[in-house]
Amino acid sequence: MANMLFVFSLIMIWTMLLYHMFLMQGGFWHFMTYRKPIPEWQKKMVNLPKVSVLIPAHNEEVVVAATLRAMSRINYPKDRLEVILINDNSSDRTGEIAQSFADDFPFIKVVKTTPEYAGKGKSSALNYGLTQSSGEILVVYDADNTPEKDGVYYLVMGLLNDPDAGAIVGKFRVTNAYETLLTRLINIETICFQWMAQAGRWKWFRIATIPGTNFSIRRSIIDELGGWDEKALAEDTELTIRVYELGWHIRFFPAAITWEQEPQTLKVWWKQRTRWARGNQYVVLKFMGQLFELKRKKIVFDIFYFFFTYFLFFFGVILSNSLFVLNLFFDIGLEVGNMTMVLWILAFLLFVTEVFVTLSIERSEFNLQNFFTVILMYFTYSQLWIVLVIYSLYLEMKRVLFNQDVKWYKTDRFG
Amino acid sequence: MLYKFFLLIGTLCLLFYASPASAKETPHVLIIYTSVDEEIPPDVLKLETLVSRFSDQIQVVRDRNLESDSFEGATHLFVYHQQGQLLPKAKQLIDEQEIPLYAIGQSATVLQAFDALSFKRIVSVSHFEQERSGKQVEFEGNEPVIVTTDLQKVTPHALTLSNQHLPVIFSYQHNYYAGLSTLLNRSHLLFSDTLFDFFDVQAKAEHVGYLRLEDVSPSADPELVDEVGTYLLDHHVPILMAVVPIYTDPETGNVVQFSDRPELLQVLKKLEDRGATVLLHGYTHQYRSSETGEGFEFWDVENGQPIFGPASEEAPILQSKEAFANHNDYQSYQKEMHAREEAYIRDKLERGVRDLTTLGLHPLGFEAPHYAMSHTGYELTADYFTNIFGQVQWGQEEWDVMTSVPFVTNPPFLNYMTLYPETIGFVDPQLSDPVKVMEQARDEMLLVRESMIGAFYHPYLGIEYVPEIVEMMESTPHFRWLSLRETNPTVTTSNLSIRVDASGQFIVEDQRSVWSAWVQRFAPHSFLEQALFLLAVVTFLAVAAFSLYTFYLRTQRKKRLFKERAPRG
Repeated sequence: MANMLFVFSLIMIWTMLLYHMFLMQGGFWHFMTYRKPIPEWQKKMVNLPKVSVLIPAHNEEVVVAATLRAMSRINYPKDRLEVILINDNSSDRTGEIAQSFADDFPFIKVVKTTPEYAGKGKSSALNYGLTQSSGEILVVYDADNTPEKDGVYYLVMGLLNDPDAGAIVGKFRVTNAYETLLTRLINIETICFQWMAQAGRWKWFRIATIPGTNFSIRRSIIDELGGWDEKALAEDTELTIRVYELGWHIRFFPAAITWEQEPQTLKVWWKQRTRWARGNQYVVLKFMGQLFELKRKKIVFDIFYFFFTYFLFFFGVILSNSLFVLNLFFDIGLEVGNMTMVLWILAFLLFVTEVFVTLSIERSEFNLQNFFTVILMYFTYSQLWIVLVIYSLYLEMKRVLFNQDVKWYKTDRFG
Repeated sequence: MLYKFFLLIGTLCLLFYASPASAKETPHVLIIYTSVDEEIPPDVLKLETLVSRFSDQIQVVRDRNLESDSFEGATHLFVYHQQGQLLPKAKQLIDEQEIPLYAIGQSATVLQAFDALSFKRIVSVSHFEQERSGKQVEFEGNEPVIVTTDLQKVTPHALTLSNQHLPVIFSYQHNYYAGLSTLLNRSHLLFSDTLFDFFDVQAKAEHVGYLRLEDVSPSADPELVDEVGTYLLDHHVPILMAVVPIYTDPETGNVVQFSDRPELLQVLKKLEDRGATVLLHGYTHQYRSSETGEGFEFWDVENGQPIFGPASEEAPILQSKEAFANHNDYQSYQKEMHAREEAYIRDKLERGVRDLTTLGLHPLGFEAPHYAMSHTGYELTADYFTNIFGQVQWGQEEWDVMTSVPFVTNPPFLNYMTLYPETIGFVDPQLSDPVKVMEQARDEMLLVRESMIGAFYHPYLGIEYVPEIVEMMESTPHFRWLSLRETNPTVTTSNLSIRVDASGQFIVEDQRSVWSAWVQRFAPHSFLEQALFLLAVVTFLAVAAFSLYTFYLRTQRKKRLFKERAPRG
């Protein structure tokens, strides 16, 4: 019995590891090739379409100035550009600071959510912003983002050159990567996410996930979808699936870069990640029910991936750990051969080398400090994820059982 | 002058070459049998086996296939007649012969050679007296026999001891007769002994014995094996160790190998160094989900048929001839099944020898798990081994038609492997005095000249019974322990061979490369292990590739710095 369970957990875990191994290969491949078509694509960059940059902001006085400063430097014809800061129910100086930029730059405008949209969360704020915008192409940034000046240009370039792309997703980097140990870990994590999950999936399956920031999308699609889903905690995952359902794909184009701030304290990180985990669990449960009705089988695959991440893989890890601990104290007849030990070591090496590849892609990130951080990461940060999934599952269950309302928690910013 | 010298030498050589042959010619034996089946009955195979002690020129013919030229060159004749009628044509051909005849079963009442005698049938006999030794014995169970009532006309070799003392085995003129109903009972010992007289062979005045440590698998307790083995070697008993390379846990299906039990392996190596001889006792000593040491490996007991493939595959049920439209279909079916069985058996034997050799052990003989094996299996085993130990499965359809022969033979149906019979059993701890039971069996064996005293012992019982067994066995008159290594045993597989040189050193010719030996040693066995191994290889390759990418990207650092600084790609 114990051995059967062990084999089961082994399968769950290794399916996931093998999949990521595969994604890493694709990610590296994408890195080696994504720049090649740019010279060709630039030829189409004439008669540029109008772009609306939407920035939902709720009490963002700490960061909004930096964000808008970056926006003011956007390298895109200003007569085809509007930057809309959506001030959603802020009680601080967000509006005030934003307005000062609007005064200086004609293409920046500040709007305040009307009562029917106000205080309901990011989706709602974006939906309001939508009503206030006129661009054919929408670009969304979070309020703590400082995009590189060519960011918007590349996001538009992708859409103009890839007629099948409904949205273009850029790459984000961490501004405060070297502030605390936590941000260092998050920095590594985000780099991995982009080059494995985003670039890898894009290269192999033509799938990428809209990450909530630094993406462009055709207005026609948002109109057709009726805006953002206000109930979804992870409005980005939700949007991703719906875009695919309409028959578009989402391109990961790492030439478009934004820099964003990551949580500097564990508490903030915990709240943010709980929201993401719950949001993704919500999406999985929502779409698992109608899995076979989904038209795009590709996205079924992706939902299944989430299902694996948040349920099966997680369960496998818990099971494997429990068996290991039980085995220390009782004889449960577990016969862990040498091979499983070898596999454990290989799993660790796999993790480390995968992270190293992604770090070396970001030229300056593969340094001595990060080398040790990665090793530490496996035993600390990566394991925190288990606790996080348990907690968010607990919250999500509570929500379903007691029919609680979803509340959007905004990530705290650091000055 | 020189040519004369060579001529002389040549003549001398010829003389010496010719002389042993002329001293005593190998008897040419013809065994004629009656049967209702196409296949040779178990009894006849056993008869052939017994005769193989005296001749390697044996021809076995069913009465209906008997022709006058079947007798060509024959010096000795056996007629085994139990089932059915002896065909008149065959009877006539036999009656025309003048060579010595040994009739068994009902044949004497039919054949001309015994016309002058009158016979009667006794329904149940268990007591016998052996004339040569004057010993009286009682065998387990009763059996019907045919005896002659003409006591004064014959030379009796064995008598029944029921109401009357009547000859059940006797010689009459230059012919012999045994009125036994089967050779599969214990009474065959009386018959076997008379073969020395029938063939006029002087038996060696000795009884060779062996003690085998049974079922030494990777699950064995190293201390107990060490204790028992060391005791025996200290007492100059050149033990045999029946080793099973793979242990399978019946509950979990997990396999344990000797490489997982270094301590045990050390013990085995030490014992072998001190003179113990390793026998291969199957590869796993189990099939399907049975436990190693409990299960059969070369006989599908559940379906009463040979094994045609690994246990993971659904065992095909052997179809009978009737299931086929024509003979050709049946033949091609048989051919296919035979090929499958052969592949299975060869795989097991190859692996067994290979694994033990890789571990540094030297198997010099074979013993089938539970002695059960199809006849195809025996034939194939001879490709690998020159020795086989234990009892023999005589039946082609039932594994338990299995008995021992009393002396060392080289049976043709075992492809002339030397068969060292196990004759006196083992210590069954459930009996109140198990060694006594073995002693009784030993005493029965003494009815037969040259009989082997073969026993086995499970080392998990510890040392308790060992001194007593050794004492009992060594008390056998003219007793000598078998020294297998001195019999020039060889073991051969497709890529390695083992033999023993004159000084008792093992000579291993291993044509496997170091790499393949390493691979075979660590190669995964079960499906799970294979899957994990594959997984490890794939992961390792990925790790290697990713390290390479990292290295590559690092060498490109400076180049990329300029590239990225250039605006817009």
